[in-house]
Amino acid sequence: MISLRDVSKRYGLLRVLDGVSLDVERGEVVCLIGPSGSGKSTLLQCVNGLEAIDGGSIAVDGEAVHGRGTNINRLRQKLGIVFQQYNTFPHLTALENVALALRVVKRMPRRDAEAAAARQLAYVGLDGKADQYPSRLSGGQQQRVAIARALAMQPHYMLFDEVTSALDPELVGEVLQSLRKLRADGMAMLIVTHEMAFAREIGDRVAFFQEGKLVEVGPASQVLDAPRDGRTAKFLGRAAQ
Amino acid sequence: MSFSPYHEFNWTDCWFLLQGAGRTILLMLVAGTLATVLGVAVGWLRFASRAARILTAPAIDVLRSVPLLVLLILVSSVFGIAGFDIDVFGTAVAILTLYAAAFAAEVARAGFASVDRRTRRAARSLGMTAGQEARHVLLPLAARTVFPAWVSLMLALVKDSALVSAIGYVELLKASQVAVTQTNQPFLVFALSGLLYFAICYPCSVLSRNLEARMKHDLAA
Repeated sequence: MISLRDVSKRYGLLRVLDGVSLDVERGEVVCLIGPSGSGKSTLLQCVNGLEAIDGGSIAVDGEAVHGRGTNINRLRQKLGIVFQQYNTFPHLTALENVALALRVVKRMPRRDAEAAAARQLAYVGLDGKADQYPSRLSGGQQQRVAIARALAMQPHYMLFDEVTSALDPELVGEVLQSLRKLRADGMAMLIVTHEMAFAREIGDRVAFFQEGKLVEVGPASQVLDAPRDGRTAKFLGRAAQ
Repeated sequence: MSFSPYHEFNWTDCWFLLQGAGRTILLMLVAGTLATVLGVAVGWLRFASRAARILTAPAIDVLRSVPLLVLLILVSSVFGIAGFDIDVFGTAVAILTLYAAAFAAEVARAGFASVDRRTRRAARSLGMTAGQEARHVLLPLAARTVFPAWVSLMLALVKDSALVSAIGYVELLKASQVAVTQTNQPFLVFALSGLLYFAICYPCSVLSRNLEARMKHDLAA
């Protein structure tokens, strides 16, 4: 379980996260929606310790992410993250992108790492692109390499940070397809997204986020169709236009 | 028959020039390697730490602003006057190394700064330690960005190494000067010497272009 308790974070005077509490169970899919700049991405980066927090606590399977004694590099292997801008390694082929951390972090022999990487690329539908460099791949393909790269570490949870926001509209579908497949396989996911229809389809629960606060959390259909909080309703109204 | 102090340019002179060229190559290899290692280390410190940037700035500025010839003569004179029995090769290597390292440090720092922080973050997010990320992501990406600048620096080092003739090390230029005093054929000797410098630098430059193309293979159309 990913467990956030009263998490807060400030950039100077700006409160990016303000008393956020949220749980993500194993196998559960939670979608985070809300206006741009409301702190959703920051929240994800706090969960795997890429960002520090100023208050509260975040625990993954009972281990404090920001705890002093925590081996963050080992903990991060449980938490795959995929970013808006793909952030693939430009000097490595698709296969090497996926195999690198297996060799370096998990110390797998090259042959085993590449076999595992090939399986992950096939999983996201990129079997034919293993030897291509990222510069030769479309945005959607690069994003799927990034997904395969995170999945190769066999994480217990996947964090998705607006993974379709930088893509051309016609490329969004292929990336969402990989997420649907993951959901079908029971992967626990925390997904920051602007795709409301997708959040409704894939999310067990939807959390609405605004100005660093978690305004409303509930079953996807309830939050999206019958929001209890006026701010959620207002946001959904604007998003629908 | 009048007696001439000179002799015709012969194979012995030619061999003498080649030996000088060999010493020029030796200087380049030793000083180039040391300067690169030192430059990457200092460049890393200057990239990673503000304090290191401030502390190393005076040394870098001095080394980059004072002409190499002045540094060479200054240091060898100071050691000479102080009564140290200095090794000419060692002094030449030390000064060339420091001089080139000052430039290499700035090249390296620019390289490190050119790597997208988000790419580095992605590596850390996979569970890589800072060291693993540096070895597998930061260094290779920085290296291929600044490789052409580094090659220019090394070629400049070959040519700058001619200046160590001023402190008495018999590299290619000094060997040429000696050969001229013995043969009185400056045009022939210096034409040969120029040819030898070219023969050292040109293959390096061709090799580097190939390497550069191979490093950027992924960017090729």
